[in-house]
Amino acid sequence: MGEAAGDGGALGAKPATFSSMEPGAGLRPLLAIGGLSKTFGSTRALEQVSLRVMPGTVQGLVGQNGSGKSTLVKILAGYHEPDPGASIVVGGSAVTMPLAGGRSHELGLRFVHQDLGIVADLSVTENLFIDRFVSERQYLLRWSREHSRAAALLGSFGVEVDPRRRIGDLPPATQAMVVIVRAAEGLRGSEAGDADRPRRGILILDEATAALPLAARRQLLAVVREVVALGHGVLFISHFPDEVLEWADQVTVLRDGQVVAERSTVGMAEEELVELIIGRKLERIDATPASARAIEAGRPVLRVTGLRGAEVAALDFAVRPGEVLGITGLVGSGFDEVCRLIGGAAPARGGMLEVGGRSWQLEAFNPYTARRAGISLVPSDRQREGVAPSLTVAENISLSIIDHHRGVGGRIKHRELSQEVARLLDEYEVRPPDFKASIGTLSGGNQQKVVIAKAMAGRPRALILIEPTQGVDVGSSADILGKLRKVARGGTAVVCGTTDAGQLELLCDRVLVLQRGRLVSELTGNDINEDRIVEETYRSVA
Amino acid sequence: MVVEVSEPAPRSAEGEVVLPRLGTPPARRSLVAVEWLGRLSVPLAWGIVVLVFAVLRPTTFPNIGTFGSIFGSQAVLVIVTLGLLVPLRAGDYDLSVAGTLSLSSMIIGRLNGGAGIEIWLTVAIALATGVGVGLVNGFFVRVFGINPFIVTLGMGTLLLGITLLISGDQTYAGVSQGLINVTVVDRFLGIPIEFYYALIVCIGMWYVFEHTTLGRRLLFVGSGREVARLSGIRVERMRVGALVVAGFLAALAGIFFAGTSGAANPTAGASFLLPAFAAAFLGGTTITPGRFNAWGTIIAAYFLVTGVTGLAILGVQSWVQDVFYGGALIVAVALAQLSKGRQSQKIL
Repeated sequence: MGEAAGDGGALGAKPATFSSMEPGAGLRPLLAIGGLSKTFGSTRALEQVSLRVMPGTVQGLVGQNGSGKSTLVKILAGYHEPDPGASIVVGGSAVTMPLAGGRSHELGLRFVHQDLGIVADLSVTENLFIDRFVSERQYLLRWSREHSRAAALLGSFGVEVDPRRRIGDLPPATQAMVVIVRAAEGLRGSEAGDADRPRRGILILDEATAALPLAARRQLLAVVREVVALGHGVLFISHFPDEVLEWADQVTVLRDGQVVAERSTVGMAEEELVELIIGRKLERIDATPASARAIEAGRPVLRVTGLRGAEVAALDFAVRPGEVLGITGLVGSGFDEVCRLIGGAAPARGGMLEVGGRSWQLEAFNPYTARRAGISLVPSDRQREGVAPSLTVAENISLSIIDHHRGVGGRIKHRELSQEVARLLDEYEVRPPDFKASIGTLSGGNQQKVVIAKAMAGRPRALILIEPTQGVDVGSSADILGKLRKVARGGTAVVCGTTDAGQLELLCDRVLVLQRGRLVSELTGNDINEDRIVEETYRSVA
Repeated sequence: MVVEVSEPAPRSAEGEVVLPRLGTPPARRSLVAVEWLGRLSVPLAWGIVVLVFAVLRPTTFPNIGTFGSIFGSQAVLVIVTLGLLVPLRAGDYDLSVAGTLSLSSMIIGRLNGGAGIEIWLTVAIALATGVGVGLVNGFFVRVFGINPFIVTLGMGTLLLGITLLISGDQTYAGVSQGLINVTVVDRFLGIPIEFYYALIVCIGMWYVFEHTTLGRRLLFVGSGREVARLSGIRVERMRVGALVVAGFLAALAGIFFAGTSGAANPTAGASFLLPAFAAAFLGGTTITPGRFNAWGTIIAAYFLVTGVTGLAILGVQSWVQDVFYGGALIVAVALAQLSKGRQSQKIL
């Protein structure tokens, strides 16, 4: 299935395995999954998936968004229950998922997620030994001894850092290294492990590197090599094909919930892996960034120049009236940050925004100035940033339009306001159209319709959305995309940041693809299709 | 990957998909009754308390003097509670209101009663002090990003200390008779005029909360701060403004406190803090349950005061006051939590 012959040319020299131990031969896998399926409603997220992690090796797991990677990790973490019939063997003994709390630690499974789970205000030592401090119930700690033990432990993995320092002050890469050492140390002390015969466990790195800069990933790799040298197994889940090839000994590729390949990475070319991930050959195309390309007819409604932020490295673009611009990329590419910066949610490090004949310095931009500039933002975190769950539907919508219905002394003209709210609920097809209901009682899709209705009700010049259909059912999702097209036809510039390539195909006139904060390609016309967009997000920047 | 699990659509006997009706469901009527019972819980409880005391003490309790005293003397509590309500509505605590009230009443006592300075000037100074306290609280909240709970906790104690300092540890009598007259001596319908001041503040606050754009923004700042911020509301200004209004109303309450007793006692004001919180939280469980609101607050304040007064008439010792107020605060917050669970609304 989908087996493509590797030419082995592009990425030639690849070290065999990290450890002295040969993988496979005669050894029992630390983790063996077989026949694993998971069904949500009518959707099959995983189908008969098998996966093995051998001691002393790094097993890569790759796949696009929606391929089932996250579902698999969530099953291992005990968050989802698999469909009956799956066999999951951890360290030689079969287990039934979901595991009781704390059981996965005992079995020797440790997770490092993108959110590292550190306490920023505590020292490196405290973060490193946090489990042990809890479990040993020591009443007195000798800090000098603890610090030197921490330094020795970190040193044994090649991490040089003063353990007395507040971990929040350290660079993200160092934090990640401390967390990996913590997890590795946890593996050693797992079930039946004793000082003489330390047990081997599985370290699961779940997109743990996605937000880190390139140089930092290299440092992390050195630590991971130390971990496998101890005989542990590592399951490495990543978006980045180049990184997986560099880190992993074997790689399992998931596509549409099925395993399409399980291979050794030795001699595998990056193009080959990308083909396995997206399911077809990458075409050779001219990928010159089109930012230099002249923008055709129509004065732009919105123009951004020299945008810089924490992830975004210098980006120029413009949106013409009636156009829906998509911005996409892998997690950590900065596509969502672009939207937050021009929506005023966070100050940028630099850049100019021109909208409605005025220029704004993005360094000093905030939601208030954004609103004055005529920009509405629909954020991705609906529960925290999109709606006030305890308030009613009408109150939530009213926030952006109360100024249109104010009388003398700031009095709200209630009747006028209710009429407009009713009209908006009707226009955006919110179900049920009961505006006295608390918004928390609506489905995710209907809440999102309210958020978009609220954003549009203020008649903005530009509507900026981040993952507008996240957590929204299929029907509402189609409604929302239709509404956004209509909004664009009405002359409002629409910018949509999303990782959902299918959605970009349906919605956008033009798509910008970002990698590591830079524009790598600009797609228009027939090039805007799901396959092509996915290709571009994975295409490596030579 | 995000997968929504949807329920299959209900089908009729013929196998057609039945669309959910959008009209009033049949169960609605009893639901409405329950909802109104919830809204009117505190007014009803108040009525019951009044009846119980009227039956137990038919001669002393149900007469105009007692009601006059309940309504009049506790206008100070109502005004300071309404002041506290503004930051609560914006999602912030203000623990300095009792300190501001004490300082304000002592400014009246010391400057007017002690030094004989014109009453209107001392009133202006007291109000300006209240505004100043709110601004200082707001400064620390906005510039240093400190939680108002901590800032105002410190400020409250600091102000009580300053009150002691300027009082020289003594009570100042001799407050202007003019102030006493317009506070407690003049009556309308047998109730001291200060009650009507509290009523006016309550009506004003209800109007601003429910019927103005400012009130709507304040509600968002308290109920969805990040939503409010991203929608372009200047959240920090609103929070500072709320603390300033709280300071102003606490100072106003302090002026009436001095007018009610005709004197300023350096320590008496501190006892207003807990009843104010109890009334605000209890008020948040009624009228519009799940939300701090003006009418609920005034009703809850009088409910609590009626209880304490009635118990005093029954001859219960003074310890009961603290037990009653403290218990009421805990019960009110527990009730608020219940209504949060029931209607996915939050008060804390």
